[in-house]
Amino acid sequence: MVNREQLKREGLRAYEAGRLRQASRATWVLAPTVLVCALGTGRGEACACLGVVLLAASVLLRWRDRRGVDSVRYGLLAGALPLLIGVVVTYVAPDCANAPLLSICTAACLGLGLPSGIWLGRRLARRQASPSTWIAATGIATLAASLGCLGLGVAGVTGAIFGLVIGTASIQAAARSAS
Amino acid sequence: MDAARRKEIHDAMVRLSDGDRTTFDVLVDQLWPVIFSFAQRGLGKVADAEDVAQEVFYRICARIADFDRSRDGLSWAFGIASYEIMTHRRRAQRRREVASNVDLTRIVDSSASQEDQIMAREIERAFEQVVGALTEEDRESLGLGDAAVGGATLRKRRQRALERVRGIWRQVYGES
Repeated sequence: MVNREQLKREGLRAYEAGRLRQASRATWVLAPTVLVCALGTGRGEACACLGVVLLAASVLLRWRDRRGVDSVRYGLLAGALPLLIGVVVTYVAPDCANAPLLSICTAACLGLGLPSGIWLGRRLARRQASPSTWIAATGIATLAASLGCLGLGVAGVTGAIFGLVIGTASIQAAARSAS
Repeated sequence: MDAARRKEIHDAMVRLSDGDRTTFDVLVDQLWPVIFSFAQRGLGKVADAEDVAQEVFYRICARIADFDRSRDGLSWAFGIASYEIMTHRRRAQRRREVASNVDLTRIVDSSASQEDQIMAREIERAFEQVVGALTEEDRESLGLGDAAVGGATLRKRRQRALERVRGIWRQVYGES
């Protein structure tokens, strides 16, 4: 005769393992992204470091619940644009790597992050996401954007992060005032 | 099964796929008996059904994170259960086939003890050695090939061949 407690215990273990396996699929997207970042920016160690943090956060969020899965999906989608353009700009304007904080490079990266932040905010507002989802998605987006903007130095990373956060926060504020 | 219970199972699956671990008890209490009775109907034996139903239940738990909420939860679970039952049946069938082959070998060998088998192999090897040392004509005369002659000639040749066999046997194994 099957023991109910044992069935529950083993079932839960299988369930958690299944969730972890599902969460780990983020690696298929993130590993090539980190590779592109490392090759594009020439900062292998920094990219690997940031990549590990992004991967750990993504897997943890996806493992936890469906809101985490959504946060990672929207965060990565929002961070994809600054990431790709950041890598391209690294080639076009290599001087940005040594640019001061208040420079045209920072402004350009801010301009990159802003539309992504607005898009992310609109998506989350439409789904009436919880504050924790907003924070998680914005965090993932800033980490992804930072990966691409690493080659642009501190100015680039700061600009992209500010752009994303300002964009998302403005939409959230608008959504709150509307409701 | 009534629609309410079916919906309860489906809802529990949806909540679990969303990451709500508190609904796991519902899955154990509602889905397990259904899976067990399904396996019992498919396999007949209670012990086999329990093993397979457990395997199915763990498989469902492991794959519930990928559960498509647009599908009916119970149908999805039955799909997994059907596959597992079929696999178990196939495995059991294969095991029966292998077991019957092993039994046949045992029946053939049961007449002789291990010592007898070794002795038989020794004699077989010695016979091959002796026959190998004979000429083609001698082998034909002893009936180990198609003899071209017959009658008195064959009898004489067979006699000579037998003498040669005895001679070779003595050379190999002495006077005994």
